[in-house]
Amino acid sequence: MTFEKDSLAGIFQNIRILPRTAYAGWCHFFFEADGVVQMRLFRLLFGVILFFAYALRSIDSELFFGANGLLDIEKMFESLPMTYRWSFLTWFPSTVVLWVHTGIFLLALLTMAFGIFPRVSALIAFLLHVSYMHRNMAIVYGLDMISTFFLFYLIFTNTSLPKTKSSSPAEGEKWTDLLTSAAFRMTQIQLCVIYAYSGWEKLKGVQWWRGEAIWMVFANPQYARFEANWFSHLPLVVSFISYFTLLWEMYFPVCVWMPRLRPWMLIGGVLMHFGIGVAILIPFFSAVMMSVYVTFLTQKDAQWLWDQMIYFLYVKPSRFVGRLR
Amino acid sequence: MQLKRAVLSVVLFFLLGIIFIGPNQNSYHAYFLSPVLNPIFTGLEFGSPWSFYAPDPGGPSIRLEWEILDSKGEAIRTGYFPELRSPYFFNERQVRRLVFSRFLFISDDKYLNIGSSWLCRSNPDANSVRLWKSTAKVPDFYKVQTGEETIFGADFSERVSVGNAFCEDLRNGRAG
Repeated sequence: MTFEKDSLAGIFQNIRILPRTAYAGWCHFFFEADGVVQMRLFRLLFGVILFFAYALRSIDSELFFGANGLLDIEKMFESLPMTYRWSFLTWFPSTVVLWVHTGIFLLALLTMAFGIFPRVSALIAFLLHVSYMHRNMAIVYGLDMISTFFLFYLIFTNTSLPKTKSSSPAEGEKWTDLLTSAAFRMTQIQLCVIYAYSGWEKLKGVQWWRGEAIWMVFANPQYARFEANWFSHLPLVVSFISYFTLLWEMYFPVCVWMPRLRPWMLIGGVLMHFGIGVAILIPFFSAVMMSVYVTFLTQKDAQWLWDQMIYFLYVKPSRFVGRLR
Repeated sequence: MQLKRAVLSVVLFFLLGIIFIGPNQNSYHAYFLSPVLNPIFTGLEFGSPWSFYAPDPGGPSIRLEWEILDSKGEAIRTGYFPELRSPYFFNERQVRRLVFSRFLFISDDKYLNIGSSWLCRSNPDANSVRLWKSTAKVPDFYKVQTGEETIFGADFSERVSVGNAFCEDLRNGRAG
């Protein structure tokens, strides 16, 4: 029996079917999203960026993680909350283990990026990544923190094969399809959570309210890449960038889900992170954040970007090498 | 088929709880759920606060300074950490040094305990170490505008003593 939508009976009927409708919406959102192309592109970009970032860190492996490095194990347990924290490097504190740990980690990042046993590689990379963090929490910064989550989601993402989507529920769904879809959504949600909390936290800051926060970042000589004294002659620009950052971070989690606003939010994010990457000493952090944006592209756009990358990174160089031969 | 979705839904609901509660661990609900969530927050590092440049960005430039002393109390050598400007071609190497120095800077106990331990280990001839820390404020916007200050002209002249540590004590497990 159906009732008028605005009638009392109609409202009660809607309330009665609300849990079922909500669950159907939940399932549609988390389990029926086809993000294989986007996740494949994200995995490649993310994996390559992390590989270079951590290959650079490995130059200082012995300083950061070695037995004679900055933080010896005994002092670490005295000075840091280590309950539930674990590390292969704490269990086996030798230089050989450190370099084997480093080698396997970097190899896992590469194989993950290029789709060679990507889920197993992501699992290995995730465990070793956490192991590094727990060996020396005092050198952990944003790049490490965000990477933890994205490596975790890639453990469940199957992009090595074309998605075989079952046409009807009666045929039975594959765990791998459900997990890939859920991991795709969680990757998107994770980015929103990062921006949301980051924006809300900034609201507590006086410097953000006064519109001078960007100056405090760009004028700190330990973080600034260039001595931009000329920036002090542009007070309105300083204020505009400060308020833009604040508003953009707070509204991104909502606006990025609106198809009409999505491209503008992503362009705004690229500009912001590009600016951070150029002006401050954290280019890898910016690059990782931007790499997650591909999960918000349409399948068609992500495929186009993938094709372009394959063409310029593989097809064109192959042709060039062929011609040289 | 529906069972798979139901099982995954429960897992996802739990995971969503983790990523939303993780950055807000001082809240009542986080405290209430801490027996379940703490092992995940710390064991897998899922409790990140996501407070980049917040509530206020950065703070001043910092420097950890030291003197390495011999048994007569004479300074053998002096040093500081980190460099004001990145000496590396790849700045990534400097970022972690900055993060580490900030970690020591915020607590004199940590600096005295961890910093002196490292200095004693890397200077085998040291009998003791004397530690200081100093800051250089971020140059004032208007003073940079008028040319009175420059961004890279940091002044670390004012320093605060943190303390002394005897290397022998550290080797025996006692901070100075």
